[in-house]
This record gives sequence, C-alpha cells and structure tokens, in this order.
Amino acid sequence: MNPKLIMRILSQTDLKTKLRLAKVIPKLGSGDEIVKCMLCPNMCLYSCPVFDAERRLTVSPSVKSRIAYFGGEEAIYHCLPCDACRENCKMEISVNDCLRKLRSGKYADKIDRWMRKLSKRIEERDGKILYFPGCRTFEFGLFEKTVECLEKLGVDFALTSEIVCCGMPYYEIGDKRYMEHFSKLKKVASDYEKVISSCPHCVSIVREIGINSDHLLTLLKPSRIGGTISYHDPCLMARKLGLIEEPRNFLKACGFEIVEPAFSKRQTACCGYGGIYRLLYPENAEKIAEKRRKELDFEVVTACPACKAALRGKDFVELLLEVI
Amino acid sequence: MSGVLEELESAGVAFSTDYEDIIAHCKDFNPLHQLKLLKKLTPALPEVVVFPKSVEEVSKVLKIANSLRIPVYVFGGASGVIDSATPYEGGIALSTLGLEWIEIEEENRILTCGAGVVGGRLEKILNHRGFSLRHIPQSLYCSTVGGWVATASSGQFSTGYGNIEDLIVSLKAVMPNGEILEERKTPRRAGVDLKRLFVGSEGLFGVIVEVMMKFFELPKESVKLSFEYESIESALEDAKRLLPLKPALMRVFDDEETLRYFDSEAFSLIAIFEGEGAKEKGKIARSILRGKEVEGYVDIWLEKRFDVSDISKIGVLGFVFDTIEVSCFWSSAAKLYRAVIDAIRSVEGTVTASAHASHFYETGLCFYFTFAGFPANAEEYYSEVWRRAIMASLENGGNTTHHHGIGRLRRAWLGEEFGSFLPLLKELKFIIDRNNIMNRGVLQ
Repeated sequence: MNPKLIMRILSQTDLKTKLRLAKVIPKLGSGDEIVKCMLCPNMCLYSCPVFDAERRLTVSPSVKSRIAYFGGEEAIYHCLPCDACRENCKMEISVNDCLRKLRSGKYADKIDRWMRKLSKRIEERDGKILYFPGCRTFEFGLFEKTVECLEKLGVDFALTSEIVCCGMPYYEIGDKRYMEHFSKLKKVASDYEKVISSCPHCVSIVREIGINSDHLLTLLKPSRIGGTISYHDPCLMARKLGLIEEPRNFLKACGFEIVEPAFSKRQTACCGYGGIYRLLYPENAEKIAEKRRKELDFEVVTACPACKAALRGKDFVELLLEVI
Repeated sequence: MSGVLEELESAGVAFSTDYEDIIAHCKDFNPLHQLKLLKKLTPALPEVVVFPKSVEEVSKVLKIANSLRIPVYVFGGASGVIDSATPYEGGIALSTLGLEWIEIEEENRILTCGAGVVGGRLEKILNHRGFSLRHIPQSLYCSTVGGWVATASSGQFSTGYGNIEDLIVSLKAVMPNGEILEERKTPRRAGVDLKRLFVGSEGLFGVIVEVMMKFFELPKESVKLSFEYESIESALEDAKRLLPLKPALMRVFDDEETLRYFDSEAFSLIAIFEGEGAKEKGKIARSILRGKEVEGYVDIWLEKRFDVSDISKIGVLGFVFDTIEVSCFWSSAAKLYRAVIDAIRSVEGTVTASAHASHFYETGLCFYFTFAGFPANAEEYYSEVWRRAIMASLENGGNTTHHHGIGRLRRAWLGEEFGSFLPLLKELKFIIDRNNIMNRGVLQ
C-alpha cells in the first residue's frame, strides 16, 4: 500500500482504532486463499466453464471456496484445472489448486476403473529425448499417429513402457498414489535429455516435478496444407506453458487462415475434458464441450488429445500426416 | 414447505435440498454477511433451491409457491450489496442462472437474452463481433442481466450511454401467480411504460426472465483526458463544463481516491470521449477545462477498475468495508460530499472514507462513497455509518440511493425517498402479489 496513503489514513483515525490496527497491520496481505476467494463477489464467474455448464452458484468459484470453508465435500470436486479463475483474478488465486488440497480421494474407484482400461502395450525404443504420450493420447487414439509422424519427420525419440500416466488423475482427486507416479516418472525421465508429451497437462506436471519438458509441438515441422480453421487453445497450453503464438505461427506456416473464437489465447474456454471432471461428471463435461464447439466456426485444430476428442477436432500430428 | 417438493417434482422443475446448494443461496454480497461467513455462520437458509431452465418453468415454480404461500427469493449472481436476496424466511431460492439464452440482431442493434446471462460473457461475445453493451457496472463479470434490471443498475459509461432503464427495449417477467408478462417489441411507444415497473423492483413484483437490450458499435476512436484540481468544487465545476460535450465516461475523484489510484494528493477528473468526433471534442474540452492536465490517469483507472481484491485482503482480517451511493443536484454536490465524508469519519472505528462522482446528468450527479472500518463491534459500527451517512445526504440535498438499490439495508428511509408515492408502492405490491410471496421484507 502507498505509504502516503497509510500516513493519511492514520492521521484521520481515532486512537482506539489505531491501537487495534497496530495488531492487524502486520498481517495485511496474509490470509488463506480459500477465505480470500470466498470473500470475493465471484469476479471470475463469467469465465468458469463448470459454472457455465451446470448453471449453479454452488459450483461457481467463490461459492465453491465458501463451501470448502464450511467443510463441504461434493462441490470441491466440481472443478477443472483450467485456471480460468486465476486468469481473471487480481489475487491470482487458482480455485482448483486450493480445492485440490482439500480433496480426500473420494471417487478414487472411478479413477481406478478408468486407469485399468488404459493398459497399453508399448514397443520400447531408445533415443535422447523421451516421448511420454500421456494417458489421454492413448485413450483418444493419438499414440500410433504421433509415433508415425515423428518417425516420418526423422525425430530421434525414445519410448518406455514403464509408465503410462503421469499421475494427474490421482493428484487432482487427492489420492496419495499420485506420489508413486510422480517418483516413477522422475526416475524414468532422468535417463533422458528431455521429456516431450502430446498433453499440455503432462508437460505441466513433468515440469512441476523438476524435469525438463516441452510440448510435442516444439518437435514438429510445418508442411504446406492450407485452408481455414479455428484454433482452440488448450487451457494449460496457453495459461501454464505460455504457448500461444507458437501454434498459430506453425499453422500459418502450414498455410492456414486462423479464425479466432470469442474466447481465445489466455482467455480461451475450456473443452470440459481436462483433469478429472469428465471422469466424475461425464454429462456436465459434455455440456462444456458442446458449448465450446458452438463457439468454433471452422474445423477445429488443437494441441491436446483431450481437447481434440471433446471438440471433435484434429491434432497437429493428424494434420501433418495428411501431407507428409 | 409441505407438498412443495412433490409439486416441483411433478412439474418437472429441477430443485435441490442438498446442504451445499442451500449454503450457496444463503446470502447476497452485503458486507455483514461476509463477516458472518468468516465465523462459519449463514445469514439465512432457504429450504429448497429451484433451477428453472425456461420461462414456463419459472411460471410453474411461482404457481406452486403462490398456491402454497411459500416465500420466494430470486437469485442471479448474488452480487447485490443491499441485503436483498437473503432468504430470511426460508422458502424457495429461485435461481435465474438457467435462463441463459442469447439472441443477437445486428441489424436492429438489439439482443434478447435470458435473465441469468452473466454480463461479462455477453460483453465478450459482443466485443468479438465489434459491439459493446456499454453497460459496464463494476460487477459486470459476476452479475446477471436480470439482476441489472431488478436493481436499476448503472454502468461506468452511463454518462454517455445512459443507465439500464435507458438501455432496455423490452422485458419479459413472470408474475407471482405464474402469469407471463410480455409486450409487443418496439423501439418506443406512447402510453404507460409498464415494463418500467420492473426496473428497480428488486423481485417485489415477480421474476424478470428475459431482457431485450440495445447495444452499440465498439468505438473506433477515443480520447482520454485527465486533470487535477485543488478542491472538489473546482473539479465538479469542470465536470459540469464538460457535460455538454457528452463524454462517454467521466469521473471526479476526491484527494484520497486520487492518492489511492494515481499517487497524487490532488482532486482529479478523468473523461473519455469516444466515437466519431472524439478528437474534436477532446480539443474543445482542453480549451474549456480549468484544471491542470496530467498524463495517463484514464489508463491507470481502466486497468484497476474491476480490481475489488482489497475487499478480500482486508475482509479476511475482519475489516468492515462498504460503499454508499447517493445522487443530488449540482447545487448540493460539494456540500453533500463534505457532509457525508464527515459523517462517516465521525463514527469511531472508521479507517478510511473517500468518494468519487461516477455518473453525471444535466441536473446533477451520483456520489459514490467508500468506507472501511476496524471497529470493536462490526454490526453497530456498520449500522451507525449508514445511519449518519444517509442522514447527512438527506439533510444536504441528496437522496438515499443511486444504483445499488434499497433491499433491506435502506428500507428505513423508504418514506424519505418515495414520499407520498410510498403508499402507492405498497398498494401495487398488494395487487400484484396478493399472497406476499416475492422477496418478503425488501423495499417494504
């Protein structure tokens, strides 16, 4: 706070209040983020995809914080890792980051069932950089295509069958098993110069555990294709990885005209398939996806396997495979 | 509440009695409610929350409530500050958020939207097409279109484009007995403008379910002006001088707010001219204004205008923070400003009291006072600040509210505000809502 303003305030405040103030002034700026969020009038409401799908104040950012403060155990799971709230918060509070700490593994059985379906045979290979597809790359049929694309581009990459999922679903749901995934991933990744993934969430997690990591896009080379497309910014790609102009430059180099939707770049709108929301509340996730699809006027190109599936669009590797 | 849930069920309207949905609809954004939350207390609790998705479903809910005489409290974004939506008698909390349709008619420059559409989303969609509502309240990103009409709201660009009553073309509402009200859509008509009954009605006469609004082209040209002054009088004189040039936005800040926003201890004025002729108007403005021109205040204010994080930052420590907006004629402005500031500061516990003038008319303006206190007893302090501030306004040519509404917070001064129209309001309420189910205790 401006020192001149503090002096002015103190000069106009009565003595008893000054004495009370003396006790709290050192605490200015402190306070639990959940409480600060709860005391906000919901200034990020318009941007929250979960609220927009469910149309309930109960799952709006500030009210979820209120419910968490009151010990509620359901609304705290109605959240995506999109960070639209943080993007629109002057206090830079990520509601999902706050709520994650309060989740206790409820619904872990749903995650277990989903994880079991992911068992995938991977033909291991050696290389300097590790291509870590991420679970949704398998789920949405992008793995084989990506391998084919990287081979055609002559990229030297490794594959491992030791770990398929980064642990994000357990991490998001508050199940401690995420730590096993994190430590295994760290151990496996330490043998390589870098980890590359198709999934922005995986890249973000891998970076959080201290490993050099990049999105697959950084390895791809543009080829002339042409046409008009809508590019959808995956939330974490734009907001956490900061990859906003790079995909656009790539698409322009491929000869595409890009038509921007109303919500794009850092203000992108979530596709609904991020995090664990789709696994817990598939109907609501589908509502978010449907709303987002309506905002995109042309064929959708994106850079995340979950977004690709939600928006029925194409990934960069699928575009390239049509011409290389 | 006996029978309500069964009737809602058979009507096919979504509802919830889940504890978390109930807590989510326990209050509006009145500051005393915030202090209760910190103590893990709820100001009130509805017995059931209903989530209608269409006008017809709203009608069904009200028919049920009316036949069983169950109180109904209408919830949009719950960002109102006047203790209006709080369900003190339990009953039904009716959420308008499921009314979310948007239809844009570019040729006629009108849009029709459900009452539950959140303003910020609507504005972004319009911006993408090269348009703007130009109704930009500070709550834009958390309030709903229906809420704007129900509170008679004002936006930051009201000086140039008008308040919500100037921007709505038509509306659809559901009466307490479930009857749906709809008029022929037209740019203007003679005769009694009955839709105006719902502007500022705060849920008293039914539920606003759909609104038709004007919108504007995003201005291609704009000119920003910032000036400093030695006194509130000289700043207000220049504001009056500027009005005939029709600025889109104008604000006068007192010295404390100028310090807070711009790190200067003067009084200040900012203005934006926009659209065709803006540059010319800017030149004329510079030639007639008598203050000292300064650089960049408009941009600083534009950057900070939606930042309400101080509420959270000091609220978490137990401070009481609120705003009081009143309007007055030009002749009373400076006197009223001083009287209200002195009145707020006279209450023990006050830490800061400041003001800006935010909406201007040929006849007068709105003063928006901000106060924060760190008192020994929050409830007593809050009520005393409000009492002294409103009395100071009334005694110095002002009124009790400009755009936040009346709710329960200001009902003590209803007689002062409405004068001999007040019995008419009560009679209208009785005729329209025979069973008194709608927002009981508000505006009455």
